[in-house]
Amino acid sequence: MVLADYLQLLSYGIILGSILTLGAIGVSLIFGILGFAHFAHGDLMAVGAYAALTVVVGLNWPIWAAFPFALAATAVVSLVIDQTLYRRLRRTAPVILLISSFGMALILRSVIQLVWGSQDRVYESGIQLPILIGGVAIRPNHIIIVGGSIVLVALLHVFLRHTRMGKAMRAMSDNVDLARISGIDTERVIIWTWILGGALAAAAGIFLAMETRLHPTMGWHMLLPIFAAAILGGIGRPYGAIAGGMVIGIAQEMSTAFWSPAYKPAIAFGLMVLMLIIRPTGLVGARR
Amino acid sequence: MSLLQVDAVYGGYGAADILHGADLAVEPGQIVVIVGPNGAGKSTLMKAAFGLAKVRKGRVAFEGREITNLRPDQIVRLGMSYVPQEHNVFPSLSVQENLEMGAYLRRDAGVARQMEMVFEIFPRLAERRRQAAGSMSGGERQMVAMGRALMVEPKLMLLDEPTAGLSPLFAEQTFDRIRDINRRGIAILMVEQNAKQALAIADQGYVLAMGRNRHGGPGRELLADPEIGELFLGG
Ligand SMILES: Nc1ncnc2c1ncn2[C@@H]1O[C@H](COP(=O)(O)OP(=O)(O)OP(=O)(O)O)[C@@H](O)[C@H]1O
Ligand SMILES: [Mg+2]
Repeated sequence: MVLADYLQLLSYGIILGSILTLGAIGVSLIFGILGFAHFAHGDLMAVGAYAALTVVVGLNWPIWAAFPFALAATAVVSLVIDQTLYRRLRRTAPVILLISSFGMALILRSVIQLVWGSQDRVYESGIQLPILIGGVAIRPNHIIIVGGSIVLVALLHVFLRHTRMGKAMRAMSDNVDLARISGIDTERVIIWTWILGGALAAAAGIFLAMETRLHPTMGWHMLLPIFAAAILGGIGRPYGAIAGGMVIGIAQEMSTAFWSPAYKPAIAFGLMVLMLIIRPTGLVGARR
Repeated sequence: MSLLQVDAVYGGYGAADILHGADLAVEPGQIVVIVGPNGAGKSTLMKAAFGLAKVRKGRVAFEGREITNLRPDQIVRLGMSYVPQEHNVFPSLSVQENLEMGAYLRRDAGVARQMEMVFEIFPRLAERRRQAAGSMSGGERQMVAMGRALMVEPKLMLLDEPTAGLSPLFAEQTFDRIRDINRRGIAILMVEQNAKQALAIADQGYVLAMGRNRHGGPGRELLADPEIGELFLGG
């Protein structure tokens, strides 16, 4: 292999990393606020991807126009799941929430399969011609994915740093009891957490579908690398999830230079376990 | 009418009561101190007043209005704030953001003015307003915690062992700050291990043991009582 080949793999790693980051931020936010590992997050990505497909096919709109609708729809789905199922279980042990989210993952996947069938789908058929930059082939979709992710992460940053609700979210993630004592309306913070987590998951799902294709299990297969990314970044820390997503995405793609792509999940799993052993608080360092 | 009135409260966290008929009163503008041995239920009594521990029997009233078992966020609104013994700052938030969270309930113009007042009491916080609270020393964190609780412009502030873990010098300074806050018309109810220093600035003191008051009286009288000195204040 020559340098350009490695750079090509690096570009794929950055694209995968962008997608993982958007999913891992949601997992991390939800863990920070609600204290449980949300196993339905991958399937929430699939919900977003299929919500966009519904608009693309139903209204014959281009994917960029369907994008905001899919984000909103997935945010609403997340909220409804929380208010009807998770909310009732909040006073129980976190493991019960984890198991119920596992059940929710199955339900979401089945509903998608029931509505759309289990064959592969795409938003638009036809081949996008790549542009060659320094020997690296880049398709317009790649620029949309990476650029879109950067914009979404920047918006999230502004929300978390500069709005009253964003700060309350970080506060609650630090210390729920102190948030309550301060008069923060924790139920509202939870609602915003699902809106953000759901919308970002939808974006991740759409980007993933643009890069590959739509399939009911597409999100489920992303769950392991997403959790690996969230854990690498120190779960509960949305900023860490960005670093974690990029590391996992790049490591997974670069590994294909040496090993069969079939080992990609093993790379994510290996990094996650390694991290849990040597530095359980995550890449970004321990503040607590 | 007392600012805070606790009448014969029984309760705790679950099946077994921790409090067995505790009484307490705080008058407007007073400093009231609760002392007593470890595990006596001092923290629990404060939590019961603030809606964080269950009151099974008895009554808590603020400015004559019953607040028994109201939620903490409802109680904060009435003008009572609480600084827990531990984990009392948001570590990843900056000093200023910690203070903003203390004022979360308020949207009026007074927030900026109140923050200036907090910076006046704790000039150190003004210098460090952008620093993450989690990276500060124990004494500075205690300032952030008190500052946060001041942001709602409380009539009464509950402090659970504000000098725990501080060096004698920092403890002394903390007592000075508490008096400073009190001079601005804010009543203080605090639990303290440094019983002698705390009772010396108290208008009223209570000795709590096994979930109920054993003695009550003006701080200096309690200090002077040889029996109490022997039993609870380490001679
Ligand atoms: N959250 C809780 N759940 C159950 N029991 C608790 C809880 N917090 C405290 N206790 C128990 O209640 C009793 C009184 O505890 P409390 O913290 O009120 O004592 P304290 O007087 O503040 O002691 P210290 O001087 O050690 O702070 C103890 O036996 C303690 O084990
Ligand atoms: Mg205590």
